[in-house]
Amino acid sequence: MIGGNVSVLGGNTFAVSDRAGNIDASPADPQGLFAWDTRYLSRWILTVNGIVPGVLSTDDVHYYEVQFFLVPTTGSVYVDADVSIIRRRTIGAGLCEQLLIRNERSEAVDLDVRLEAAADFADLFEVKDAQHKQGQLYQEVQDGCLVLGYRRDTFVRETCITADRPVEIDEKGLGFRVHVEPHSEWSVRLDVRVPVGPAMLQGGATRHRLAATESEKARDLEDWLSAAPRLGCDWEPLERIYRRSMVDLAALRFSPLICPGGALPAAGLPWFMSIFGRDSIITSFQALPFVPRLAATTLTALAALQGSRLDDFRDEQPGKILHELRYGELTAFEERPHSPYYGAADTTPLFIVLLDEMERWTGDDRLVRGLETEARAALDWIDAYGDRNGDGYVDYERRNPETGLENQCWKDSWNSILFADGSMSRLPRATCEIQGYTYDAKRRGARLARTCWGDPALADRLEREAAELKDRFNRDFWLEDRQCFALAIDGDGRRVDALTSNIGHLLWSGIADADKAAVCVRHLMGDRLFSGWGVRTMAEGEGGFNPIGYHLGTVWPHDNSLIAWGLTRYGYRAEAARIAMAILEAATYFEGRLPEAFAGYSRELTRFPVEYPTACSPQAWATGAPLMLLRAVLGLEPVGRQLLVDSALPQQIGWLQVLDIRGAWGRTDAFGRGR
Amino acid sequence: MSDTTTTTQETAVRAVFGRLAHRRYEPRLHGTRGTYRFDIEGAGTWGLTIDAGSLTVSEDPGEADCVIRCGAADFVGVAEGTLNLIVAALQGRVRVTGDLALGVSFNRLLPVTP
Repeated sequence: MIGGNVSVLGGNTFAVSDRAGNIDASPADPQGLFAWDTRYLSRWILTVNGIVPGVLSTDDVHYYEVQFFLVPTTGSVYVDADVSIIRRRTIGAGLCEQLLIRNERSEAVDLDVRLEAAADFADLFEVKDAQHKQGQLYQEVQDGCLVLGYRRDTFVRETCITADRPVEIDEKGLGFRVHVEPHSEWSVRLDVRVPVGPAMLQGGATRHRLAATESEKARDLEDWLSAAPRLGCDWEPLERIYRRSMVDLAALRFSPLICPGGALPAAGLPWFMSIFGRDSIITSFQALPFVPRLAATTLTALAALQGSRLDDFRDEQPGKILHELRYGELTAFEERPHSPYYGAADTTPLFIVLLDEMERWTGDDRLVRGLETEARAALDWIDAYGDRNGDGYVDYERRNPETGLENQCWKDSWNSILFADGSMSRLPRATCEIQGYTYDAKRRGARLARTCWGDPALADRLEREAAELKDRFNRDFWLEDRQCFALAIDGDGRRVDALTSNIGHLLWSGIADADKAAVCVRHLMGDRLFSGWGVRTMAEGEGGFNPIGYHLGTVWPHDNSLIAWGLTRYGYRAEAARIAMAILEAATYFEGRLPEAFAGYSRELTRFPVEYPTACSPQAWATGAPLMLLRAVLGLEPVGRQLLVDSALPQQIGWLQVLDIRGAWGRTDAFGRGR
Repeated sequence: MSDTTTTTQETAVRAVFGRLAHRRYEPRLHGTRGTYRFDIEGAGTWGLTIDAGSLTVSEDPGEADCVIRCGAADFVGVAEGTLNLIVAALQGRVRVTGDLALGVSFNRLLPVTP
């Protein structure tokens, strides 16, 4: 549920309604049936004898199915409890609604049941604005089907609504004259169809495949869960957190048009149900020990859409990996640059990081060989385009000042890159973690070049460049007076000196010298950064610090999961376990589902983690965080064709096992015992 | 549309395929294999085969992995880089069917300039 609304979804199709199941979109309440970033239904209201029934309860047990239990109202405070209505809604190729009316009276009832339907075909980017569509909306009744459509030149989007029993259809909805005998029931199935897959590109096609049945959906989820490794632990909440993560990852699966049959993790539900370079890569990385196949689709889709030209509007450059792809009208008519938009400076090195990590886990080098051209182009991008001002560090400054992104790193809010005194840094900005990713990409690229591409000369060059980068970075970014790495070097060559969680990513990437890493660990675990629930995005006491500022003091689970893995990598196992436990304990306050971020108040102050209000839940990389934390505390690391297990559990956990971890070794189990 | 315009567009389309044939190899498509068919209104049907980056152009091809249908002006716009292929597909101006990943790969040949 989002606020008072109920969401149900499948792939990139989702419906947001009120608690009665009705959709009545307004700028203040962006309800609707959405697919392909377009609202295919903005009005879907059930009336009985002209009155909207009242709600008894709502049951949204599965992400793909919801049931609304309703009773007709008469206008008085009493409900007519002799007649009840159940709306069961599933999402497949649109919205499928099974409407069941039960009559418990001893005499028959006659009811006038109607569903009002309308579609405004708003772009997801404009659902909170008043609509000023440039094209024409139309409604047609064709062969027992209500077609709601929108046409702007050749751009056509249509919704097709049918019922499986006799129905009176007009351009504003569907009506049924219902007669129900005593103690019996009446039902109808309504299909609101939206285009599936490539059919979306064919505009007016309305005869699509029928919605997947709920039993198919249930079987799919069962298969997904049974294919995952099994977890056991004496700390009871962990099994629930793990299961929640796996179910949410299933819900977050998104099949891009260019990879039919494949699934990658979309960034968040419901509004970010699309390919996001950074989020899809990080989530796939986090999930590798548990669901290795997400990474292959992520890499394949991102490679296919790799930049090939210089295009300022899209911030595109040859070899660059995309930031975000959208399919709606504003993208189609270039009012937004998401076709795709390439405004991210970290996605390209992270693409190499994931490609290498996937090969290490799965032992399957076919994709590494198949994507050699794209991987080389990504490595070339780092040197040819990554460094805008020639200071030797990958940086960013948007070339699209109207609709481009100001900050093109993971902390992408406009005011995230601040000095310790709270003042703003100048563009272009080279944030520290991007240098870490670049270092890691070059090292991993070298391994791929040597072992998979048969190019030792490239491997040597990349290793040399990585070593040089590490040297320079540890010199140029290190703030001797503050004894920490700078957050960034800005366009004026100044070192941006706020203490932030970004330094933890330097451990993940391995770019920090061991002695400086030791100092970073003290910062990460100190009271200014560590809240008790995790590492804050910015340290308490900095000028810009705000415990409820999006990237200025909140705690992000995905951030912490990468930091925990970085600590593990440098041998700080107790510290990694402490972070892991803090985040996992926080998850217990959210029924096992970690939010994107929570407030950075200290644990002693609030005693429970205060959720940061965001529009999307679950969020992909928050969903992946517990998986990465499990990897960290179990010390899972593929070495050759073996999986190394070297656990260091939090004090609260006595034993932990993960069984049937798939990879280059076939299947293996990991056990950990408390020390 | 006058006959003269049609002829001009047909000539422009022919010129694009002439340049593609002349290019013969595109390193950015080294990892790509597949066949395209272009059904271009008023400018015939064209084929393009990519085999590890090698390009072969043909006229009147048969079945293909990816079929691209559009008007001649839009095709020339895409080829010359004034019309974005993905935007054109989302608008419905260019219809891409079959292997859409291959369809997107066509971007790597752009712009097709003299």
